Amino acid sequence: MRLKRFVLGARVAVSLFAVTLLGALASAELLIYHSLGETLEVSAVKAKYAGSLLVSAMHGSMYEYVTEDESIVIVEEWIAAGATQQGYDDGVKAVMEEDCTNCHSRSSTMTDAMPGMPLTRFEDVKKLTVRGLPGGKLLMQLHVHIFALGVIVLILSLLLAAADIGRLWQVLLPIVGFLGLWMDAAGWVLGSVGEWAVWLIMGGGGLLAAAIGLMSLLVLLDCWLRVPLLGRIPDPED
Amino acid sequence: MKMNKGAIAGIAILCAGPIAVAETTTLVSAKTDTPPTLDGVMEGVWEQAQPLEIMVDKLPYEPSNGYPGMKATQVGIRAMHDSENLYMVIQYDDPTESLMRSPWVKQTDGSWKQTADKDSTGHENTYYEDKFALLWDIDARGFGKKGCGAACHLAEDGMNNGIADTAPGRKYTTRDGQTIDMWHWKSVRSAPVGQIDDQYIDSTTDPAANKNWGRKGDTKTGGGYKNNKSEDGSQPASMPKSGATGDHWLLASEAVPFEDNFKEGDVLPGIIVSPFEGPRGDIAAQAMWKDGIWTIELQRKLTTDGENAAEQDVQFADLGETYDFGIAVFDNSQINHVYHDGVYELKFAE
Repeated sequence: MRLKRFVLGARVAVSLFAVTLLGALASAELLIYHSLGETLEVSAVKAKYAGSLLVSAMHGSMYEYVTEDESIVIVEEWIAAGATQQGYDDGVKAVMEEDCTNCHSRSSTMTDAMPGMPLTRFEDVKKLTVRGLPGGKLLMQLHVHIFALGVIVLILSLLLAAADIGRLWQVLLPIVGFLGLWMDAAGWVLGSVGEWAVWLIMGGGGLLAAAIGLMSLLVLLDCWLRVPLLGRIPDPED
Repeated sequence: MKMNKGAIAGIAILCAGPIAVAETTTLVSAKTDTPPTLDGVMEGVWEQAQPLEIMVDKLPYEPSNGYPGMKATQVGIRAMHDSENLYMVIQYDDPTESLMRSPWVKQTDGSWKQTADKDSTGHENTYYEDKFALLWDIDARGFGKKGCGAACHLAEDGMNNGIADTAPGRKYTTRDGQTIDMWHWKSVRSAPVGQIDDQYIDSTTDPAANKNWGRKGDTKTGGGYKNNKSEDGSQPASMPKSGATGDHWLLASEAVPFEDNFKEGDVLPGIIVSPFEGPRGDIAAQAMWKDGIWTIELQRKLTTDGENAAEQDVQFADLGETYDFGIAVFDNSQINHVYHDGVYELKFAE
Protein backbone atom coordinates (compact mmCIF):
# COMPACT_ATOMS: atom_id res chain seq x y z
CA MET A 1 0.00 0.00 0.00
CA ARG A 2 1.49 3.34 -1.07
CA LEU A 3 1.17 6.33 1.19
CA LYS A 4 -0.66 8.29 -1.50
CA ARG A 5 -3.32 5.59 -1.64
CA PHE A 6 -4.16 5.89 2.01
CA VAL A 7 -7.69 7.13 2.51
CA LEU A 8 -7.97 10.86 3.11
CA GLY A 9 -8.42 10.53 6.85
CA ALA A 10 -5.28 8.40 7.14
CA ARG A 11 -3.23 10.84 5.09
CA VAL A 12 -4.45 13.72 7.24
CA ALA A 13 -3.49 11.79 10.38
CA VAL A 14 -0.04 10.90 8.99
CA SER A 15 0.46 14.52 7.95
CA LEU A 16 -0.46 15.82 11.36
CA PHE A 17 1.88 13.28 12.94
CA ALA A 18 4.72 14.52 10.72
CA VAL A 19 3.92 18.15 11.44
CA THR A 20 3.82 17.39 15.15
CA LEU A 21 7.27 15.86 14.96
CA LEU A 22 8.62 18.84 13.05
CA GLY A 23 7.12 21.11 15.68
CA ALA A 24 8.57 18.93 18.41
CA LEU A 25 12.01 19.22 16.83
CA ALA A 26 11.70 22.99 16.86
CA SER A 27 10.53 22.84 20.49
CA ALA A 28 13.43 20.56 21.37
CA GLU A 29 15.81 23.13 19.95
CA LEU A 30 14.24 25.78 22.17
CA LEU A 31 14.41 23.41 25.14
CA ILE A 32 18.09 22.68 24.56
CA TYR A 33 18.71 26.38 24.10
CA HIS A 34 17.04 27.04 27.45
CA SER A 35 18.65 24.20 29.38
CA LEU A 36 22.13 24.94 28.11
CA GLY A 37 22.05 28.67 28.57
CA GLU A 38 21.92 31.55 26.16
CA THR A 39 24.39 30.12 23.66
CA LEU A 40 24.66 26.58 22.37
CA GLU A 41 28.35 26.10 23.01
CA VAL A 42 30.31 22.89 23.36
CA SER A 43 31.36 23.99 26.84
CA ALA A 44 27.74 24.18 27.92
CA VAL A 45 27.03 20.69 26.54
CA LYS A 46 30.12 19.39 28.31
CA ALA A 47 28.97 20.98 31.53
CA LYS A 48 25.54 19.39 31.26
CA TYR A 49 26.49 15.85 30.32
CA ALA A 50 30.11 15.42 31.33
CA GLY A 51 30.41 18.02 34.05
CA SER A 52 28.96 18.11 37.54
CA LEU A 53 25.27 18.66 38.13
CA LEU A 54 26.18 21.82 40.01
CA VAL A 55 28.09 23.41 37.14
CA SER A 56 25.58 22.09 34.64
CA ALA A 57 22.76 23.84 36.48
CA MET A 58 24.74 27.07 36.79
CA HIS A 59 25.36 27.03 33.05
CA GLY A 60 21.80 26.01 32.24
CA SER A 61 18.49 26.11 34.03
CA MET A 62 19.78 28.15 36.98
CA TYR A 63 21.82 30.57 34.89
CA GLU A 64 19.39 33.43 35.43
CA TYR A 65 20.23 33.34 39.14
CA VAL A 66 24.01 33.38 38.64
CA THR A 67 25.22 36.88 39.36
CA GLU A 68 28.36 36.74 37.23
CA ASP A 69 29.93 34.12 34.92
CA GLU A 70 33.02 34.31 37.09
CA SER A 71 30.99 32.59 39.81
CA ILE A 72 30.73 29.50 37.60
CA VAL A 73 34.47 29.61 36.97
CA ILE A 74 35.09 29.67 40.73
CA VAL A 75 32.98 26.54 41.17
CA GLU A 76 34.54 24.78 38.15
CA GLU A 77 38.04 25.46 39.42
CA TRP A 78 37.10 24.28 42.89
CA ILE A 79 35.80 20.98 41.52
CA ALA A 80 38.84 20.55 39.28
CA ALA A 81 41.06 21.07 42.33
CA GLY A 82 39.33 18.29 44.24
CA ALA A 83 36.36 20.11 45.81
CA THR A 84 38.03 20.56 49.18
CA GLN A 85 36.55 22.04 52.34
CA GLN A 86 39.20 24.77 52.23
CA GLY A 87 38.29 25.72 48.70
CA TYR A 88 34.63 25.76 49.65
CA ASP A 89 35.27 28.08 52.57
CA ASP A 90 37.51 30.35 50.50
CA GLY A 91 35.16 31.04 47.62
CA VAL A 92 32.41 28.59 46.80
CA LYS A 93 30.43 29.23 49.98
CA ALA A 94 30.11 32.91 49.05
CA VAL A 95 28.91 32.00 45.56
CA MET A 96 26.29 29.64 46.97
CA GLU A 97 25.08 32.29 49.41
CA GLU A 98 24.91 34.94 46.73
CA ASP A 99 23.12 32.89 44.08
CA CYS A 100 21.66 29.67 45.46
CA THR A 101 20.80 29.33 49.13
CA ASN A 102 17.75 31.59 49.21
CA CYS A 103 15.85 28.71 47.60
CA HIS A 104 18.27 25.83 48.19
CA SER A 105 18.11 25.67 51.97
CA ARG A 106 16.41 23.32 54.39
CA SER A 107 14.27 26.05 55.89
CA SER A 108 13.41 28.07 52.78
CA THR A 109 9.70 28.72 52.27
CA MET A 110 10.14 30.87 49.16
CA THR A 111 7.79 30.10 46.31
CA ASP A 112 10.65 28.39 44.46
CA ALA A 113 12.12 26.77 47.56
CA MET A 114 14.12 23.56 47.06
CA PRO A 115 14.51 22.34 50.65
CA GLY A 116 15.16 18.83 49.39
CA MET A 117 18.31 19.98 47.61
CA PRO A 118 20.03 22.28 50.11
CA LEU A 119 23.31 24.00 49.23
CA THR A 120 24.06 25.60 52.57
CA ARG A 121 26.78 23.23 53.76
CA PHE A 122 30.00 21.84 52.32
CA GLU A 123 28.61 18.29 52.25
CA ASP A 124 25.51 19.45 50.38
CA VAL A 125 27.52 21.10 47.65
CA LYS A 126 30.14 18.39 47.45
CA LYS A 127 27.45 15.84 46.57
CA LEU A 128 26.67 17.68 43.37
CA THR A 129 30.24 17.74 42.08
CA VAL A 130 30.29 14.19 40.69
CA ARG A 131 30.92 14.16 36.94
CA GLY A 132 28.09 13.13 34.62
CA LEU A 133 24.36 12.82 35.10
CA PRO A 134 23.41 11.24 38.45
CA GLY A 135 22.59 7.51 38.19
CA GLY A 136 18.86 7.72 38.89
CA LYS A 137 18.34 10.69 36.61
CA LEU A 138 20.42 9.05 33.88
CA LEU A 139 18.40 5.82 33.96
CA MET A 140 15.10 7.67 33.96
CA GLN A 141 16.07 9.93 31.07
CA LEU A 142 17.59 7.07 29.07
CA HIS A 143 14.49 4.96 29.55
CA VAL A 144 12.16 7.66 28.27
CA HIS A 145 14.54 8.90 25.58
CA ILE A 146 15.36 5.54 24.00
CA PHE A 147 11.87 4.13 24.12
CA ALA A 148 10.04 7.21 22.86
CA LEU A 149 12.49 8.13 20.12
CA GLY A 150 12.99 4.49 19.11
CA VAL A 151 9.25 4.13 18.49
CA ILE A 152 9.12 7.42 16.61
CA VAL A 153 11.99 6.43 14.30
CA LEU A 154 10.35 3.04 13.71
CA ILE A 155 6.99 4.59 12.78
CA LEU A 156 8.63 7.11 10.47
CA SER A 157 10.70 4.32 8.88
CA LEU A 158 7.59 2.28 8.13
CA LEU A 159 5.79 5.28 6.69
CA LEU A 160 8.83 6.16 4.62
CA ALA A 161 8.89 2.61 3.27
CA ALA A 162 5.38 3.22 1.93
CA ALA A 163 6.34 6.55 0.34
CA ASP A 164 7.30 7.07 -3.27
CA ILE A 165 10.88 7.83 -2.29
CA GLY A 166 14.07 6.32 -3.64
CA ARG A 167 14.95 3.01 -1.95
CA LEU A 168 18.35 4.30 -0.91
CA TRP A 169 16.67 6.90 1.30
CA GLN A 170 14.17 4.39 2.65
CA VAL A 171 17.06 2.32 3.95
CA LEU A 172 19.57 5.01 4.79
CA LEU A 173 17.42 7.34 6.89
CA PRO A 174 16.24 4.67 9.38
CA ILE A 175 19.84 3.51 9.81
CA VAL A 176 20.99 7.08 10.43
CA GLY A 177 18.13 7.62 12.88
CA PHE A 178 18.85 4.54 15.01
CA LEU A 179 22.61 5.08 14.80
CA GLY A 180 22.12 8.63 16.08
CA LEU A 181 19.90 7.39 18.90
CA TRP A 182 22.47 4.82 20.02
CA MET A 183 25.33 7.32 19.84
CA ASP A 184 23.31 9.83 21.85
CA ALA A 185 22.46 7.31 24.56
CA ALA A 186 26.03 6.03 24.68
CA GLY A 187 27.26 9.59 25.14
CA TRP A 188 24.97 10.10 28.12
CA VAL A 189 26.26 6.95 29.78
CA LEU A 190 29.91 7.64 29.02
CA GLY A 191 29.73 11.29 30.10
CA SER A 192 30.96 10.29 33.54
CA VAL A 193 34.09 8.73 31.96
CA GLY A 194 35.34 11.67 29.96
CA GLU A 195 34.44 14.86 28.17
CA TRP A 196 35.05 13.20 24.80
CA ALA A 197 31.66 11.52 25.21
CA VAL A 198 30.07 14.89 24.53
CA TRP A 199 30.99 14.49 20.86
CA LEU A 200 28.94 11.30 20.78
CA ILE A 201 26.00 13.23 22.20
CA MET A 202 26.33 16.13 19.79
CA GLY A 203 27.02 13.92 16.77
CA GLY A 204 24.36 11.38 17.63
CA GLY A 205 21.81 14.05 18.50
CA GLY A 206 22.50 15.80 15.21
CA LEU A 207 22.09 12.60 13.18
CA LEU A 208 18.92 11.67 15.04
CA ALA A 209 17.35 15.10 14.62
CA ALA A 210 18.32 15.23 10.95
CA ALA A 211 16.87 11.77 10.30
CA ILE A 212 13.60 12.48 12.10
CA GLY A 213 13.27 15.88 10.48
CA LEU A 214 13.96 14.64 6.98
CA MET A 215 11.77 11.56 7.31
CA SER A 216 8.91 13.64 8.69
CA LEU A 217 9.20 16.14 5.86
CA LEU A 218 9.37 13.46 3.17
CA VAL A 219 6.40 11.57 4.59
CA LEU A 220 4.42 14.78 4.89
CA LEU A 221 5.12 15.85 1.33
CA ASP A 222 4.56 12.39 -0.10
CA CYS A 223 1.05 12.31 1.33
CA TRP A 224 0.03 15.10 -1.01
CA LEU A 225 2.45 15.44 -3.92
CA ARG A 226 5.40 13.96 -5.67
CA VAL A 227 8.47 14.80 -3.66
CA PRO A 228 10.95 16.87 -5.66
CA LEU A 229 14.43 15.36 -6.27
CA LEU A 230 14.09 12.35 -3.95
CA GLY A 231 10.75 11.17 -5.27
CA ARG A 232 10.43 8.23 -7.67
CA ILE A 233 7.83 6.81 -10.00
CA PRO A 234 6.00 4.13 -8.03
CA ASP A 235 6.82 0.55 -8.98
CA PRO A 236 3.62 -1.14 -10.25
CA GLU A 237 4.49 -4.16 -8.12
CA ASP A 238 4.70 -2.13 -4.94
CA MET B 1 -1.48 13.32 -8.53
CA LYS B 2 -3.09 16.71 -8.49
CA MET B 3 -1.76 18.96 -5.82
CA ASN B 4 -4.15 20.04 -3.16
CA LYS B 5 -3.05 23.68 -2.82
CA GLY B 6 -5.13 24.27 0.27
CA ALA B 7 -3.60 21.31 2.04
CA ILE B 8 -0.11 22.36 1.04
CA ALA B 9 -0.69 25.87 2.29
CA GLY B 10 -1.91 24.46 5.59
CA ILE B 11 1.13 22.23 5.86
CA ALA B 12 3.41 25.17 5.15
CA ILE B 13 1.82 27.19 7.93
CA LEU B 14 2.00 24.32 10.40
CA CYS B 15 5.61 23.60 9.48
CA ALA B 16 6.55 27.14 10.33
CA GLY B 17 6.86 25.69 13.83
CA PRO B 18 6.42 27.37 17.13
CA ILE B 19 7.09 31.05 17.10
CA ALA B 20 9.06 32.18 20.10
CA VAL B 21 7.47 35.27 21.59
CA ALA B 22 10.00 37.29 23.53
CA GLU B 23 8.74 38.69 26.80
CA THR B 24 8.88 42.45 26.84
CA THR B 25 11.07 43.68 29.64
CA THR B 26 11.45 47.28 28.55
CA LEU B 27 9.38 50.18 29.74
CA VAL B 28 9.58 53.08 27.32
CA SER B 29 8.97 56.51 28.76
CA ALA B 30 7.10 58.74 26.32
CA LYS B 31 8.22 62.33 25.99
CA THR B 32 5.40 64.71 26.79
CA ASP B 33 4.62 68.38 26.92
CA THR B 34 1.50 67.66 28.94
CA PRO B 35 2.40 66.35 32.38
CA PRO B 36 -0.26 64.21 34.01
CA THR B 37 -2.21 65.46 36.98
CA LEU B 38 -1.23 63.47 40.04
CA ASP B 39 -4.58 62.37 41.40
CA GLY B 40 -4.56 58.58 41.37
CA VAL B 41 -6.63 58.50 38.17
CA MET B 42 -5.13 57.31 34.90
CA GLU B 43 -6.48 60.01 32.66
CA GLY B 44 -6.23 60.18 28.86
CA VAL B 45 -2.80 61.76 28.76
CA TRP B 46 -1.33 58.40 29.76
CA GLU B 47 -2.55 56.85 26.50
CA GLN B 48 0.56 58.19 24.77
CA ALA B 49 2.70 55.88 26.95
CA GLN B 50 2.91 52.16 26.21
CA PRO B 51 2.23 49.97 29.27
CA LEU B 52 4.66 47.36 30.49
CA GLU B 53 2.95 44.40 32.12
CA ILE B 54 4.77 42.56 34.89
CA MET B 55 3.46 39.47 36.65
CA VAL B 56 4.51 39.25 40.28
CA ASP B 57 3.78 35.77 41.59
CA LYS B 58 6.51 34.70 43.98
CA LEU B 59 6.69 35.10 47.74
CA PRO B 60 9.81 35.16 49.90
CA TYR B 61 8.35 33.30 52.89
CA GLU B 62 5.27 31.70 54.43
CA PRO B 63 4.24 33.43 57.65
CA SER B 64 3.67 31.02 60.52
CA ASN B 65 0.16 32.33 61.22
CA GLY B 66 -0.99 32.08 57.63
CA TYR B 67 -0.94 34.49 54.75
CA PRO B 68 -4.30 35.74 53.46
CA GLY B 69 -2.72 38.24 51.07
CA MET B 70 -2.38 38.03 47.30
CA LYS B 71 -0.08 35.38 45.92
CA ALA B 72 -0.01 36.93 42.46
CA THR B 73 -1.06 40.04 40.60
CA GLN B 74 -0.38 41.66 37.25
CA VAL B 75 1.16 45.13 37.42
CA GLY B 76 0.82 47.61 34.57
CA ILE B 77 3.30 50.48 34.45
CA ARG B 78 3.47 53.48 32.14
CA ALA B 79 6.06 56.24 32.14
CA MET B 80 6.36 59.71 30.66
CA HIS B 81 8.94 62.45 31.00
CA ASP B 82 9.49 66.06 30.15
CA SER B 83 12.68 68.07 30.44
CA GLU B 84 12.53 68.06 34.21
CA ASN B 85 10.54 65.14 35.61
CA LEU B 86 9.80 61.45 35.25
CA TYR B 87 6.14 60.52 35.71
CA MET B 88 4.87 57.02 36.23
CA VAL B 89 1.49 55.41 36.72
CA ILE B 90 1.23 51.98 38.29
CA GLN B 91 -1.93 49.88 38.33
CA TYR B 92 -2.60 46.47 39.77
CA ASP B 93 -5.48 44.37 41.02
CA ASP B 94 -5.82 44.12 44.76
CA PRO B 95 -9.22 42.96 45.98
CA THR B 96 -8.81 44.64 49.36
CA GLU B 97 -7.88 48.20 50.30
CA SER B 98 -5.77 47.71 53.41
CA LEU B 99 -5.41 50.75 55.64
CA MET B 100 -5.86 49.39 59.15
CA ARG B 101 -2.22 49.56 60.21
CA SER B 102 -2.13 48.54 63.86
CA PRO B 103 -4.85 50.89 65.11
CA TRP B 104 -5.66 51.46 68.78
CA VAL B 105 -8.99 50.07 70.01
CA LYS B 106 -10.56 50.94 73.35
CA GLN B 107 -11.29 47.78 75.33
CA THR B 108 -14.24 46.82 77.54
CA ASP B 109 -12.22 47.44 80.69
CA GLY B 110 -11.29 50.92 79.55
CA SER B 111 -7.75 50.08 78.54
CA TRP B 112 -6.34 50.57 75.03
CA LYS B 113 -4.97 47.82 72.87
CA GLN B 114 -3.01 48.19 69.65
CA THR B 115 -4.24 45.49 67.30
CA ALA B 116 -1.61 43.06 66.14
CA ASP B 117 -1.27 39.49 64.91
CA LYS B 118 2.41 39.06 64.26
CA ASP B 119 3.94 35.90 62.84
CA SER B 120 6.83 33.99 64.36
CA THR B 121 9.33 36.35 62.75
CA GLY B 122 7.69 39.36 64.42
CA HIS B 123 6.05 40.69 61.28
CA GLU B 124 2.48 41.70 60.62
CA ASN B 125 0.26 40.26 57.88
CA THR B 126 -3.16 41.10 59.27
CA TYR B 127 -3.39 44.64 60.62
CA TYR B 128 -1.25 46.46 58.13
CA GLU B 129 -1.23 48.53 54.94
CA ASP B 130 -0.80 47.98 51.21
CA LYS B 131 2.59 48.92 49.78
CA PHE B 132 4.38 48.99 46.46
CA ALA B 133 8.14 49.06 45.92
CA LEU B 134 10.09 50.13 42.88
CA LEU B 135 13.80 49.40 43.09
CA TRP B 136 16.32 51.11 40.78
CA ASP B 137 19.86 49.98 40.28
CA ILE B 138 22.47 52.58 41.13
CA ASP B 139 25.58 50.42 41.01
CA ALA B 140 24.77 47.15 42.79
CA ARG B 141 26.49 43.92 41.75
CA GLY B 142 24.05 41.53 40.13
CA PHE B 143 21.08 43.90 39.83
CA GLY B 144 21.44 44.14 36.06
CA LYS B 145 20.67 40.42 35.81
CA LYS B 146 18.78 39.44 38.96
CA GLY B 147 16.93 42.67 39.74
CA CYS B 148 15.70 42.94 43.32
CA GLY B 149 17.01 39.43 43.95
CA ALA B 150 20.52 40.85 44.02
CA ALA B 151 19.71 42.42 47.38
CA CYS B 152 17.54 39.65 48.83
CA HIS B 153 19.19 37.44 51.44
CA LEU B 154 17.13 34.88 53.33
CA ALA B 155 18.11 33.47 56.69
CA GLU B 156 18.58 29.79 57.42
CA ASP B 157 17.90 28.42 60.88
CA GLY B 158 17.81 31.92 62.31
CA MET B 159 21.17 32.95 60.87
CA ASN B 160 21.73 35.55 58.18
CA ASN B 161 25.23 36.32 56.99
CA GLY B 162 26.57 34.72 60.16
CA ILE B 163 24.39 36.85 62.43
CA ALA B 164 21.51 35.56 64.54
CA ASP B 165 18.31 37.12 63.21
CA THR B 166 14.61 36.41 63.60
CA ALA B 167 13.58 38.01 60.30
CA PRO B 168 13.04 35.62 57.38
CA GLY B 169 15.31 37.73 55.21
CA ARG B 170 17.13 41.01 54.82
CA LYS B 171 17.89 43.45 52.06
CA TYR B 172 21.50 44.46 51.49
CA THR B 173 23.94 44.78 48.65
CA THR B 174 26.94 42.47 48.56
CA ARG B 175 29.69 45.04 48.06
CA ASP B 176 30.61 48.02 50.17
CA GLY B 177 29.65 51.32 48.61
CA GLN B 178 27.13 49.80 46.19
CA THR B 179 23.53 50.96 46.48
CA ILE B 180 20.00 50.52 45.14
CA ASP B 181 17.36 53.25 45.11
CA MET B 182 14.05 52.13 46.61
CA TRP B 183 10.79 54.02 46.03
CA HIS B 184 8.47 52.67 48.70
CA TRP B 185 4.85 53.71 48.42
CA LYS B 186 2.86 53.08 51.60
CA SER B 187 -0.91 53.40 51.65
CA VAL B 188 -1.02 54.69 55.24
CA ARG B 189 2.37 56.18 56.02
CA SER B 190 3.20 58.02 52.78
CA ALA B 191 0.09 58.19 50.58
CA PRO B 192 -1.94 60.51 52.85
CA VAL B 193 0.79 63.16 52.58
CA GLY B 194 1.15 62.76 48.81
CA GLN B 195 4.54 61.14 48.81
CA ILE B 196 6.48 57.97 48.20
CA ASP B 197 8.97 57.12 50.93
CA ASP B 198 12.31 57.57 49.15
CA GLN B 199 14.65 54.92 50.53
CA TYR B 200 17.79 53.11 49.46
CA ILE B 201 19.66 49.88 50.11
CA ASP B 202 23.34 49.64 50.92
CA SER B 203 25.66 46.88 52.15
CA THR B 204 25.02 47.25 55.89
CA THR B 205 24.72 43.85 57.59
CA ASP B 206 25.24 44.98 61.14
CA PRO B 207 21.91 45.32 62.95
CA ALA B 208 23.63 47.45 65.57
CA ALA B 209 24.45 49.98 62.88
CA ASN B 210 20.97 49.87 61.36
CA LYS B 211 18.10 47.73 62.61
CA ASN B 212 16.83 47.22 59.07
CA TRP B 213 20.30 46.18 57.89
CA GLY B 214 20.86 47.57 54.37
CA ARG B 215 17.41 49.13 53.99
CA LYS B 216 17.49 52.82 54.91
CA GLY B 217 15.58 56.05 54.41
CA ASP B 218 17.12 58.80 52.34
CA THR B 219 18.45 61.79 54.20
CA LYS B 220 15.67 63.88 55.69
CA THR B 221 15.59 67.28 57.31
CA GLY B 222 12.19 66.90 58.94
CA GLY B 223 8.75 65.36 58.75
CA GLY B 224 7.97 61.69 58.27
CA TYR B 225 5.96 59.19 60.30
CA LYS B 226 6.17 57.90 63.84
CA ASN B 227 4.21 55.51 66.04
CA ASN B 228 1.32 57.05 67.90
CA LYS B 229 2.21 55.54 71.24
CA SER B 230 2.59 56.90 74.74
CA GLU B 231 5.96 56.63 76.48
CA ASP B 232 4.86 53.58 78.45
CA GLY B 233 3.27 52.05 75.36
CA SER B 234 -0.11 51.58 77.01
CA GLN B 235 -2.18 54.02 74.96
CA PRO B 236 -2.08 56.51 72.07
CA ALA B 237 0.09 59.57 72.49
CA SER B 238 -2.07 61.77 70.28
CA MET B 239 -5.52 61.93 68.77
CA PRO B 240 -7.26 63.92 66.04
CA LYS B 241 -8.59 67.31 66.99
CA SER B 242 -12.00 66.10 65.96
CA GLY B 243 -11.93 62.90 68.00
CA ALA B 244 -12.30 59.39 66.61
CA THR B 245 -12.55 60.05 62.87
CA GLY B 246 -12.16 56.45 61.73
CA ASP B 247 -9.04 57.29 59.73
CA HIS B 248 -6.12 54.95 60.17
CA TRP B 249 -3.51 57.66 60.09
CA LEU B 250 -3.22 60.89 62.04
CA LEU B 251 -1.88 63.91 60.23
CA ALA B 252 0.64 65.64 62.48
CA SER B 253 -1.05 68.92 61.67
CA GLU B 254 -4.32 67.55 63.07
CA ALA B 255 -2.85 65.91 66.17
CA VAL B 256 -3.51 67.01 69.72
CA PRO B 257 -2.41 65.34 72.96
CA PHE B 258 -4.44 62.25 73.82
CA GLU B 259 -7.27 62.68 76.28
CA ASP B 260 -9.27 59.59 77.03
CA ASN B 261 -12.88 60.61 76.61
CA PHE B 262 -13.63 57.72 74.25
CA LYS B 263 -16.05 54.84 74.55
CA GLU B 264 -15.51 51.09 74.20
CA GLY B 265 -14.75 50.09 70.62
CA ASP B 266 -13.52 53.50 69.50
CA VAL B 267 -10.57 53.37 67.17
CA LEU B 268 -7.60 55.72 66.97
CA PRO B 269 -4.76 55.68 64.42
CA GLY B 270 -1.56 53.85 65.27
CA ILE B 271 0.61 56.16 63.20
CA ILE B 272 1.22 59.91 62.94
CA VAL B 273 2.23 61.14 59.50
CA SER B 274 3.61 64.29 57.98
CA PRO B 275 5.41 64.99 54.69
CA PHE B 276 9.09 64.14 54.56
CA GLU B 277 11.29 67.19 54.19
CA GLY B 278 14.56 66.94 52.37
CA PRO B 279 15.72 64.21 49.96
CA ARG B 280 13.49 61.52 51.50
CA GLY B 281 10.52 63.49 50.18
CA ASP B 282 11.80 63.71 46.60
CA ILE B 283 8.93 61.71 45.10
CA ALA B 284 5.41 63.11 44.91
CA ALA B 285 2.59 60.62 44.54
CA GLN B 286 -1.17 60.29 44.65
CA ALA B 287 -2.99 57.00 44.78
CA MET B 288 -6.53 55.70 44.67
CA TRP B 289 -8.05 52.29 45.30
CA LYS B 290 -11.25 51.80 43.33
CA ASP B 291 -13.13 48.68 42.25
CA GLY B 292 -10.32 46.40 43.35
CA ILE B 293 -7.55 48.28 41.57
CA TRP B 294 -4.80 50.42 43.01
CA THR B 295 -3.69 53.30 40.78
CA ILE B 296 -0.54 55.11 41.89
CA GLU B 297 0.77 58.15 40.05
CA LEU B 298 4.20 59.51 40.87
CA GLN B 299 6.55 62.25 39.86
CA ARG B 300 10.26 62.66 40.50
CA LYS B 301 12.88 64.98 39.08
CA LEU B 302 15.03 63.26 36.47
CA THR B 303 18.06 64.19 38.53
CA THR B 304 18.24 65.06 42.19
CA ASP B 305 20.87 67.11 43.92
CA GLY B 306 20.05 66.73 47.59
CA GLU B 307 22.48 65.61 50.25
CA ASN B 308 23.90 62.15 49.41
CA ALA B 309 21.93 62.10 46.15
CA ALA B 310 24.62 60.17 44.26
CA GLU B 311 24.53 57.36 46.82
CA GLN B 312 20.79 57.31 47.52
CA ASP B 313 19.04 58.24 44.27
CA VAL B 314 19.03 56.84 40.76
CA GLN B 315 19.92 59.69 38.42
CA PHE B 316 18.27 59.74 35.00
CA ALA B 317 20.98 62.07 33.77
CA ASP B 318 21.47 60.53 30.33
CA LEU B 319 18.20 59.93 28.53
CA GLY B 320 20.03 57.78 25.99
CA GLU B 321 20.83 55.20 28.66
CA THR B 322 18.67 52.43 30.08
CA TYR B 323 17.89 52.11 33.78
CA ASP B 324 17.35 48.74 35.44
CA PHE B 325 14.50 48.27 37.88
CA GLY B 326 12.35 45.71 39.68
CA ILE B 327 9.04 45.85 41.53
CA ALA B 328 7.23 44.23 44.43
CA VAL B 329 3.66 44.40 45.74
CA PHE B 330 2.89 44.16 49.46
CA ASP B 331 -0.70 43.18 50.22
CA ASN B 332 -1.53 44.20 53.77
CA SER B 333 1.84 42.85 54.81
CA GLN B 334 4.85 44.25 56.59
CA ILE B 335 7.57 42.43 54.68
CA ASN B 336 5.98 39.59 52.71
CA HIS B 337 5.55 40.61 49.08
CA VAL B 338 4.91 39.24 45.63
CA TYR B 339 7.87 39.74 43.33
CA HIS B 340 9.26 38.67 39.97
CA ASP B 341 12.52 37.08 38.92
CA GLY B 342 14.92 38.98 36.71
CA VAL B 343 15.14 42.64 35.84
CA TYR B 344 13.26 45.22 33.78
CA GLU B 345 14.63 48.36 32.15
CA LEU B 346 13.42 51.87 31.55
CA LYS B 347 14.25 53.64 28.29
CA PHE B 348 13.45 57.22 27.38
CA ALA B 349 11.88 57.93 24.00
CA GLU B 350 13.29 60.98 22.24
